[in-house]
Amino acid sequence: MIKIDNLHFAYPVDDGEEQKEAIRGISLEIKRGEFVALLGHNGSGKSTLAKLLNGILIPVSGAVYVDGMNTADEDKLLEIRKKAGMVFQNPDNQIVATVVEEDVAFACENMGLPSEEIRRRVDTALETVGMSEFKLHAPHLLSGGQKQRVAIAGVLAMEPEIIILDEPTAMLDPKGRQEVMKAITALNREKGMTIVLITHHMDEAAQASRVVIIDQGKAVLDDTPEKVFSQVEEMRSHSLDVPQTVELMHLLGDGLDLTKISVAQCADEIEKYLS
Amino acid sequence: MSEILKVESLTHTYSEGTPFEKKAVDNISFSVSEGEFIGLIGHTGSGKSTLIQHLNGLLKPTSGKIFVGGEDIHSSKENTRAARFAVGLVFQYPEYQLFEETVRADIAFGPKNMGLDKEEIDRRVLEAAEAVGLSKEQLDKSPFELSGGQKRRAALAGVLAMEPQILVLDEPMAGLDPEGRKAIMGYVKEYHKKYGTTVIFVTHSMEDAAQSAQRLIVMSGGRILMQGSPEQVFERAEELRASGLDTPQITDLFTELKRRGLDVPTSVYTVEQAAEYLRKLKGGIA
Repeated sequence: MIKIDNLHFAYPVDDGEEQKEAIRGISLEIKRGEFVALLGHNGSGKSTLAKLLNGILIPVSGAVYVDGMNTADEDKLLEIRKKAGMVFQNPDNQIVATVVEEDVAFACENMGLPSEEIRRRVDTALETVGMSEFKLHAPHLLSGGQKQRVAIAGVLAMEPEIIILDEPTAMLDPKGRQEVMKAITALNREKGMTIVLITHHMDEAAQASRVVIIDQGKAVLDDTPEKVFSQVEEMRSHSLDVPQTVELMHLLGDGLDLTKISVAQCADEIEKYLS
Repeated sequence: MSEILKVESLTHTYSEGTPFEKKAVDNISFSVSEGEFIGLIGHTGSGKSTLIQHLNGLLKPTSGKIFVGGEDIHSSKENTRAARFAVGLVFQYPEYQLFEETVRADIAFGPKNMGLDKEEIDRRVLEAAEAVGLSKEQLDKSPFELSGGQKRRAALAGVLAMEPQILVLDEPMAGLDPEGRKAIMGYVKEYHKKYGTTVIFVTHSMEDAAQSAQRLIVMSGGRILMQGSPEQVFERAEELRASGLDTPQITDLFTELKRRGLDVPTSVYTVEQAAEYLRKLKGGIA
């Protein structure tokens, strides 16, 4: 679905300043229906990578292919963006209309779809994120989590095959985060949507089927959440935390299985440790 | 220790008398002693931001009173002005408020408005910058050349330079990654230790609050749901979850172990406490 081939990228700088590569040779393949989390600290290059995935940024060298189309090919850009929708961090910057359903319809209207089709898509999208009852509300009066779900619905209404979310919960409180994460996991599990989630919350990354750790512009770890998070020292060397369950078992040592990251699994391990 | 802040039967109603009328703070009373480090916790909409905007007189109570250093801050204009300086409020995303040409000028803005002389302003700017780990070279840069975490710290320094008696921080770590969060938390803790300033730390993260605060005040629906030491508050993990707050994963684990019939306390909230307790339990000492 997405193929990243020896990708390099650097932001343009003023004359005399030294150019620093933000992405330094990443190769990855993301398959249809996967739920991939890109995890890294601020400045690791993860958001830059996200913007390269649907052609907001164009590679300096190497290439990104979305469903076989090269993002550097300007003629394909519109089609790529229809296929790979993007949700950003701040919900307030993404809302353009004064009524929820009009906001969700915005992209469809720009695509020149017939009005019955827009109606159908908007209703389906709002239902998918659990916001149907708010369709006639004013977006600015919604909570952060609700606004972010409206933003996701706006992307869904374009009926993309991939959704790329760049730290969608960074500005939300725990309740808002849960709402958004529930909507995202449901999209993947129930609708089979390919999801790329950029985050620095490891508990969110743990909900993905695959975690890629980005550090200094490189993909340094790429595996299931269980395998990635069990490497406590390695994770720390990339300035990342591991779940508290793993940290506890790591501290206790004694042959505990660090891949048991959920609370229930960890409780099993603790019972074994005590017996 | 002497009482530095007292909130008495505070109620605040937004848009009173309109269809949008909303009671954001509902008859709250509490007091804070000098030098305390308080964690004020609640989910979005619990009323915590409304509450703290009363502490330095930005919002006027619909009813109730605020006392800073024993003075009712709305009893006279002078007292209101004094409260503005005594209570330093660091808003959410304070880096959006940076506006001067250099970091130095931005940090100096508050002290300048206090009418201090140049020498005193310079001393305060340097001290505040040092307290948040900004170097002298960075002081002469434009605030917009700094990284996100540095901007946040520059904004924090601007409030510290006013040398408030009470430092109120509204979600100071929102939107930062684990490294940036640790840095801010570290500087605030260090500042509290060094200067003994009273700190009120507003957050929706139970973990952050528990790591630093001596006393937690949990708000829900505009009221105080519970208050006490971190142990006392985490003991009631179920109620916290019900009010929309996240409990640390380690507390959830101990709740689960207890449900399975193990004799463990549910007030555990750090990994170190948990490991120590389990080791003792295994050794048969607990």
